[in-house]
Amino acid sequence: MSLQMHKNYRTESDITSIHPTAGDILMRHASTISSLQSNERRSANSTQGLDQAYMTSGLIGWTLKVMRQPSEESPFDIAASQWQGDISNTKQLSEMDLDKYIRYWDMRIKSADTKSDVIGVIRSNKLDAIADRLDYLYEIIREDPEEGNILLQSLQEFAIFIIAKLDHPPEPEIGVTQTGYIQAVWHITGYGTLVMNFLPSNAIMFAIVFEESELNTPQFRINGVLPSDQIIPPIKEFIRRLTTR
Amino acid sequence: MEIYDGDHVSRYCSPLKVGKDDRPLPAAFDIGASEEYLSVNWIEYFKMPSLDKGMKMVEDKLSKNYTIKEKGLFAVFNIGDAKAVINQYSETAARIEHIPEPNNESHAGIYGYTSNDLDVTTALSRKYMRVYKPTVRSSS
Repeated sequence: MSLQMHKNYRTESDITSIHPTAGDILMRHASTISSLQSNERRSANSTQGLDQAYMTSGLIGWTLKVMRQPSEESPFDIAASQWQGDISNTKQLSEMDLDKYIRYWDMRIKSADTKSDVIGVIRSNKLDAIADRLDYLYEIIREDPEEGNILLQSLQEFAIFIIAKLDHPPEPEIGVTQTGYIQAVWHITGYGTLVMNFLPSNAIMFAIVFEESELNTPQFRINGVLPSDQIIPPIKEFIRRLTTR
Repeated sequence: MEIYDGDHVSRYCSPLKVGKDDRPLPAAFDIGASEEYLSVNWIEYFKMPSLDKGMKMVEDKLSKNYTIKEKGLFAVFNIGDAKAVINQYSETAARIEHIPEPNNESHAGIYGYTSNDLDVTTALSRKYMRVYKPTVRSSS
């Protein structure tokens, strides 16, 4: 693993004191996050008066950015060693039964080879509001094809995610990207916004933007592209908050 | 020409990029992989006495050459605020330039992020100044 550090980082207590929620998530799961890809690259720099630390990997990977306003008396340091984890930990995210459940729905939805079939599966899972919204989006496209299109594989990935992986989440706002991918958005007032674009290549482009708790507090956000069979802990935590509201 | 921070721009969001809650989705602010900027319209270009009248002018002019849908909307940004949002999340300094086009003279571009910056488009979708519902009835 190549590692570049232009700036040192301090300790868990520092990051959690800056933003208790995001900091807690980031630090508790840093080892799992860091193990997701072996070709991760890490760098930190200072641009436009903001200190930034971010970790990236290749196309299928993720970026973790932590930003804060510059502060002379409180340098934002985390020991590099804290970001290195055991890659075997990633398997603990999915148990055997969950794997079987997801595989069942993956097969079931991917055998649905028309949009109507996929929406039918969503509806049969009592996710009527989501199915209605998808019908609405397809109706807009039917009325004016120049509006865009929805890739069937993206719709299938979205369906697998909401039925099997999220287990019937609260209804997201749903739209379509320029590239024809389904975009789902969940917002929790006072906490943040989770956005997912469902790519046709078994991957999800995602971003979590945490809300500012007060003026001049650091802006935490996490974004990147992950294989669709991996849900990193900050997303799990966001979903937990969605489902326990 | 870079536009003054106190002015405003609007982004037309098609119905596929508007949520059920009548707010723009992050997808409304996507920059294409081969594009350098997000297309918007400079509202003060028309020198109207109010933002509403400026927006009406933007809509009237745009609808002559583009399809504006009743189920779509315009997201309006103060230029200084939009730049601040982008600068908060992007490593590239934001700027908004007037880029007049033959059939769209108030056309402008927001520079400072790329097609991969989903966090920027997410922040823009939460931090616009207001929305303006189209009044054009030429199309649904």
